[in-house]
Amino acid sequence: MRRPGRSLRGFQWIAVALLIGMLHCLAAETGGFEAANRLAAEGKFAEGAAAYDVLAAGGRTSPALEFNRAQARFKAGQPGRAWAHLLTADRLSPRDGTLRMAAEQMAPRIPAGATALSGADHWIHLLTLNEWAVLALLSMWIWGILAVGGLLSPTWRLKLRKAVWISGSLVAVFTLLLSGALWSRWRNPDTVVLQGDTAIRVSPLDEARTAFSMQEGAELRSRGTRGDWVLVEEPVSRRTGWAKRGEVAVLPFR
Amino acid sequence: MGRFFQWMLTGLGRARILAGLLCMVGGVAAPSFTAELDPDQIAVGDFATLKLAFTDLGDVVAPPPPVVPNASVTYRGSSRQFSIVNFSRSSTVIHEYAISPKTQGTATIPAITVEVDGRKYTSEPVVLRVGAGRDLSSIGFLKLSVPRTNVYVGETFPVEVRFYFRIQPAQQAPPTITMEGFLKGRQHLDSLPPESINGHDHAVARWTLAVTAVKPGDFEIGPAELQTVYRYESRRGFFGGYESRQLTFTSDPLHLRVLSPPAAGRPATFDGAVGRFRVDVSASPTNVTVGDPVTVRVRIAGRGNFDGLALPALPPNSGFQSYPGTNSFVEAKDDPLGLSGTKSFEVVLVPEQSGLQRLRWPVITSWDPVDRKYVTEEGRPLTIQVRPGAGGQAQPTGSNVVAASASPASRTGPVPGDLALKTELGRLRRVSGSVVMDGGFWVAFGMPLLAYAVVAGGIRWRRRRREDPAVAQGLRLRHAVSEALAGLALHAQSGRSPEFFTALHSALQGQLALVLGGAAGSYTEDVIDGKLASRGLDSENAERLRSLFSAIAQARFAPGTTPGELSERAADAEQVIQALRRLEGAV
Repeated sequence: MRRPGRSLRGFQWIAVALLIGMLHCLAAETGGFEAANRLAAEGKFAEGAAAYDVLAAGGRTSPALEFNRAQARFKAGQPGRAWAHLLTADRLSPRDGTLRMAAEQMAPRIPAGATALSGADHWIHLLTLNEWAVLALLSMWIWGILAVGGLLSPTWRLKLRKAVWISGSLVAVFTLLLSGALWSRWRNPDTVVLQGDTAIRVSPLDEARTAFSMQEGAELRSRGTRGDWVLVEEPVSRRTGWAKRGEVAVLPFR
Repeated sequence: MGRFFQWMLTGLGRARILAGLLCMVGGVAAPSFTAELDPDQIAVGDFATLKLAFTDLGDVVAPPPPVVPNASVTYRGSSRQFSIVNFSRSSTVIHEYAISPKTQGTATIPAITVEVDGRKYTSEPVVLRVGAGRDLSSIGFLKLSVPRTNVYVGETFPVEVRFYFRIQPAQQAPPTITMEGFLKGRQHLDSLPPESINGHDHAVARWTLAVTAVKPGDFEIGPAELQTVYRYESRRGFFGGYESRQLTFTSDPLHLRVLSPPAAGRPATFDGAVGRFRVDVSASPTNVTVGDPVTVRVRIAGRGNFDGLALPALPPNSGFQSYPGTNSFVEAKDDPLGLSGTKSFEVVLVPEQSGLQRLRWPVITSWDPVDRKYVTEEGRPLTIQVRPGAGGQAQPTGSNVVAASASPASRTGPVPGDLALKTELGRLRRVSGSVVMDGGFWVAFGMPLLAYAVVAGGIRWRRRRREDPAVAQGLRLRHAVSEALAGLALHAQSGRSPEFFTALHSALQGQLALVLGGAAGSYTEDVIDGKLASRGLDSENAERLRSLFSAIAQARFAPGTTPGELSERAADAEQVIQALRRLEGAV
């Protein structure tokens, strides 16, 4: 018969070990980030960009990391990758004012730069899709609780009438805004060309004929994937074709 | 006729019909590729449609738009046609391009070669005859304007394109303005109140574009071109309808002279800034030890070219070492072009000498293009008390300092348009799609609605049920029967005969009304054989009920009964009521 105290102590040790491991990882990440920053500050932009890539190799990233990757890539002469990182940072942290300044700095070398991070629906991008979704969900639950409460008690109905109307209006507004944000994400380009003269092919095969080619940093709409290929649409002419996954970057749907 | 259908239904007949149909559609046309213009004669400002037809060549991808001198060509889309001619079937894919010539004369669309399945197909060149353009002034006109025709290198100013129109176009794109020697910035679209021109009311749309002059000389801005699409009632087809026509409005160009700020009287602190600015400086902390970092915040507000605005270097022997910082720009609320606003710099200075340090920095000199003079602005001098340190240089800290703290910047302040790297990594997270793509979110979103619908439906159902007269009558009767039954036992025990039989009468009449659907109080023992037997009341309970009716009748005339007899009657009554309850609903 095992005593419960012993097993509890075992859990405590595991928790302490996990905490130490997490702190160690955090320190390693911060150290790596500072080292990469130092390389970039010394003018070693390609080395700095590679060091940032190592931090993001696990598929995890942060707005600051994407921003610095964009800066290093841009200064290393890779405007397409820089643009993709900057737009990713914008999707992760849409209210960061420094992103717009960086976009203006990069704009002359980016085909879509003139309209970047601006436009009539810029305000709808002040929040991420998740933030709009949370607002819509919260308002819906508040309305639901108040409305159901009003149904259950005639006294509450009178007291809650105003609150139900206000929360119902908020539900309508936030749901509309969420729909607008979704529509905007769907309508706007979400794919960036990473290399100059990237061939967009008529079918997802290496030997397929080139339908058209795109400049580095150009923005496209992704319309599906098949293996290592992405079906893209050129927003102006609405021509479609297939691009290799490594030659374009598809931004997160956020 | 009947025989014919019988023949068709036989196997031989069906085979003959199938063979006949195959003969009809058996022939296939030869593959071909043709180019055609519709119409082949237009006026300047209109557009013709170039149709590239691929017959029996499968799904051919649209070729790139052909290059036609002095004309713009845009892809419009594709369609597919199937046809059977002389028993020969064919499938044609047609790709359409809109060709809009800009000059009068002829425009030749060159031969186009496409490769399909390793074989090349070439179309014939086609010629588009372009006549003189129509007079668009009856529809609208375009006007290009600038605030001044003499501007300065580095000056950012608005260029305005106004579209005055009497007929609203169905579609319009932002205008294009050709210019050399200028950098284009942000643009903004708004509407102005209608204006009366030559006795006609014109609606006005205005595009404003921020433009920066980059080199001295005489330059031309424009002409501006605005492409619109108008819809007209068609007179071509029998059934009428509408057709679209693309009209291009063109403005007159503007001549601008770009000057350099004069060399005469130019202060040494002038670094190319053009505009009107005010400077505000603050520092914290102001009481430090040698080597401690001091954060200096500089706010430059005003109107002008903020892109070309940078902090000057620290004066030599200032007693401070500077480290790179950040800058940010906040535009004025009422200025969508970003010509006015506030640019903020945050720089870290590290004092190298002890004592009361006074610093007059930064000094910003700009050229005012309106008043045509140099203006020098500086904030209030910074006074920082620096105590002697224990030795050793401290490293700067703060949210805006690059991690490479050991290497001070070669120059003070950020490079124009340059940004410092972020130093706070933040939490690394796996970037996933939005929660809105998850079905669980929409389930959670719909739950309050569902709960509301369920509760509201339940309440409504209860209310309707309560308001139904038949249901209400049933409820009342049930209540009365229950109360009467409860009273039977009490009255039996206490020997109160009149009350007992009154309660018995109420219970039986109420339960019979529930079973038979009539009014309580109207039933006699005749219903036992007449209605209850047919509904399935067993003979034993029928006999009990009959005896209860008799007892009630006797009690009216001889109410004296012993408690024991009353208890027996009460037990009988309960059994009869139970039996009658089982008959509720039975026909």
